[in-house]
Amino acid sequence: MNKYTISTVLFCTLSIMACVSSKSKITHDFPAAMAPDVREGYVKQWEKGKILYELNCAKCHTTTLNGRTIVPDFTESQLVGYTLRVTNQKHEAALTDESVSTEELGLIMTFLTYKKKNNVK
Amino acid sequence: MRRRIVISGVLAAIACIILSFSHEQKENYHNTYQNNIVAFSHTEKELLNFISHQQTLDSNNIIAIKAKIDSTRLALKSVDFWLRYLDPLAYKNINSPLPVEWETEVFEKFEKPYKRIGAGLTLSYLYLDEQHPKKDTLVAYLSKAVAATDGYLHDSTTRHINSFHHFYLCNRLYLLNLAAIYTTGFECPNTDAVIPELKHMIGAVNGIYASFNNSFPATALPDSYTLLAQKMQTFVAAQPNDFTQFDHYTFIRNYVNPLFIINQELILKYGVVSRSNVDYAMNKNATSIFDKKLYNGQNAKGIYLRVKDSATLAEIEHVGKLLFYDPLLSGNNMRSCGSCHKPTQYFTDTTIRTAVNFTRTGQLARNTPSLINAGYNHLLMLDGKHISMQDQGKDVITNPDEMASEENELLKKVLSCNEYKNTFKKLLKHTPQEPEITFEHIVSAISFYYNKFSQFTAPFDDAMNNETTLNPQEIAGFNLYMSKAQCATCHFAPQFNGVKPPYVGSEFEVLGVPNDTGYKAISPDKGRYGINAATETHNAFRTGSIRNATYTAPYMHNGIFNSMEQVIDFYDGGGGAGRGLNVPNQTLSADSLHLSKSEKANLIAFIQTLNERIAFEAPPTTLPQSKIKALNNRKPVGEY
Repeated sequence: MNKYTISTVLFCTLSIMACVSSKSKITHDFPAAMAPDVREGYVKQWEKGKILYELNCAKCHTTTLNGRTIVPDFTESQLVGYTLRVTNQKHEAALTDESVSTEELGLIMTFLTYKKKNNVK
Repeated sequence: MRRRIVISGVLAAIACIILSFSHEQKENYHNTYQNNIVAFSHTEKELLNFISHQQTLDSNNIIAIKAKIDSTRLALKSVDFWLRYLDPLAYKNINSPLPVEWETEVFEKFEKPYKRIGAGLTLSYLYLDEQHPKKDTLVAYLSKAVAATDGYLHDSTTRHINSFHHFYLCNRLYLLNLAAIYTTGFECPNTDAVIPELKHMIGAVNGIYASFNNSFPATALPDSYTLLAQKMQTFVAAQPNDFTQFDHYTFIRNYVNPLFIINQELILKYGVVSRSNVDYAMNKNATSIFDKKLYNGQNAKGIYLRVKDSATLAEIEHVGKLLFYDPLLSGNNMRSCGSCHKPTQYFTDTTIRTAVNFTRTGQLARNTPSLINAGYNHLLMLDGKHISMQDQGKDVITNPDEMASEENELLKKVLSCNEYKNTFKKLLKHTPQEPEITFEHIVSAISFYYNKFSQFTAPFDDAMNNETTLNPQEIAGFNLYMSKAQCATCHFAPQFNGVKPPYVGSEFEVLGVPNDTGYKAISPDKGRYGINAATETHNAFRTGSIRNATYTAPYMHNGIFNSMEQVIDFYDGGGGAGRGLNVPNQTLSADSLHLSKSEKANLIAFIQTLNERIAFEAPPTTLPQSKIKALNNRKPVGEY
């Protein structure tokens, strides 16, 4: 009985986790014309940018819709690197160069630029 | 029904009246802005018109033109408060000190340096002193200034004037420049005009204050501020017009800095928000111009940027210190960072002009710079090659002439020591974007360690913060520094390095430093040219700080001068060009400064007030044990 309960709980937990992670999966979308070696470099930067986005930006920008994690599709004109720091009061306080370095901001821009767009319905 | 219409009609009328009142109020400040810019533009156009009507330029009309430039400059000083802040690029067409400037701004660190072509009043004045000036060149300089000034009347700029935010940021820059450049002759080739222009500007800005307070009562300057600003005006009005006799010390200490302190408080109180990239390095929490937090030049924590808790920071500092003194970082395990950046010698090497190279077959081209206050620069190395402390560290460690390491080999050696390995492993949780231990982690710990020696202040800072005062000789030295000796036109307050308000770039200068003290030849080192090849960058070097200069001899990029007296004599003699060397692009005047012996002694007395009370530490006595037995013979600091 006890064993049964444990395995049920374990099964449920694992399936929820699997479910959540599959729904939260954010993938990249690089131009087809990009050379494979260039692409490889970009993928590395993109992965770093993704983690840095989670650390610094997700708290305010990421939303959940029907259990799905949504990273917004920013427009090209919104992804302006350094200028981002001064475009709104929240950024000026939360996105200082004591929380994100210039180099890191560049990686976050790479992540957001080449993130696969959300399917707008 | 009818009553309802009447009521809403009355309400609408009241709303209209209220709105029109507030509109009228706002227009007050807006009008002050508009009218002043139009007046300046008008004066500029008159000057341009006057020059256009001359047939040629000769000694007679040049005097008249110069007088007109002087009066146009006064009109500029009425609006400088806004122009300089609201559009720094346009300002370069109105009042640039140089025909060409190469800029690498902090927010554009990844871009190549930008070439900025200057124009405007200062260049026009300087151009008239050249042999056979041509009318067309002068007309071109001033036409650009006129076009740039009219740009300030466009909506893209005037929209800022409708809110209070820009005002406190304009004011911050104005106050910083009062302390750094407005009294020194920077951008003012006619030194007789420096103080008259200052007097005019302070009066004009006090007028701007009144107009602002009238239009923005909810976010007004308090009486404590405006009364002190008026006192400053009275103080300056009573000062002599000769900038060498002006009391720069009291001006900054008793007026400019106290006003800056109030302005900082108001920026926080009113929640002032910047929309401009050029504010980027400024720290709103700094409580004085002479607070080391004033601006942020470098990220000393590197990859550990987000670590805030003191226990973790202490761990990073601990390994950083061990690594700084660990010769394992060099190719032959014999020299460490501390071999040349000696902790007993202000993190430089005072015993040698330039350090011995790795193979001990010769010497390096450049003097070892002190690491103290390195973080207050945007570009590092004497040629400004690097944008971050971490890149700078990697370069020295892997440079075949310096420490001659190879990245993978170095990582292997560092991780062969359990103490390093365990600490860096433990710290990995703070850098999720880098799941493996990298070179970046190592150099970040090192820069974090040595940067802690940059937090200390000097007697000069205490005096400026009104805690103490300087003696008369030191004060006389500071006043010379700011005027006749022309030091302050390149070494700007408060760091006394080449970073001027709003502290977003590092400046380079061409001094014509000789290769030998007999001035037989200029130093062959091309300096900045090696990084950014251009006519202007030949033999140019990044301006260093004069803080702690007493203890960081020998001086200049090649360590050619052993004493401060020699350095001052070098400047007093007009640099290399003044001693007959061919330095066509020298940025230092080739004329003598005519400094007397006692004036030179006063300057040195002032420079000594910039010696910081640094709490130095002894190097570690033991280093972490390595699994590679041969490495365990290495000694802390190394055997350089």
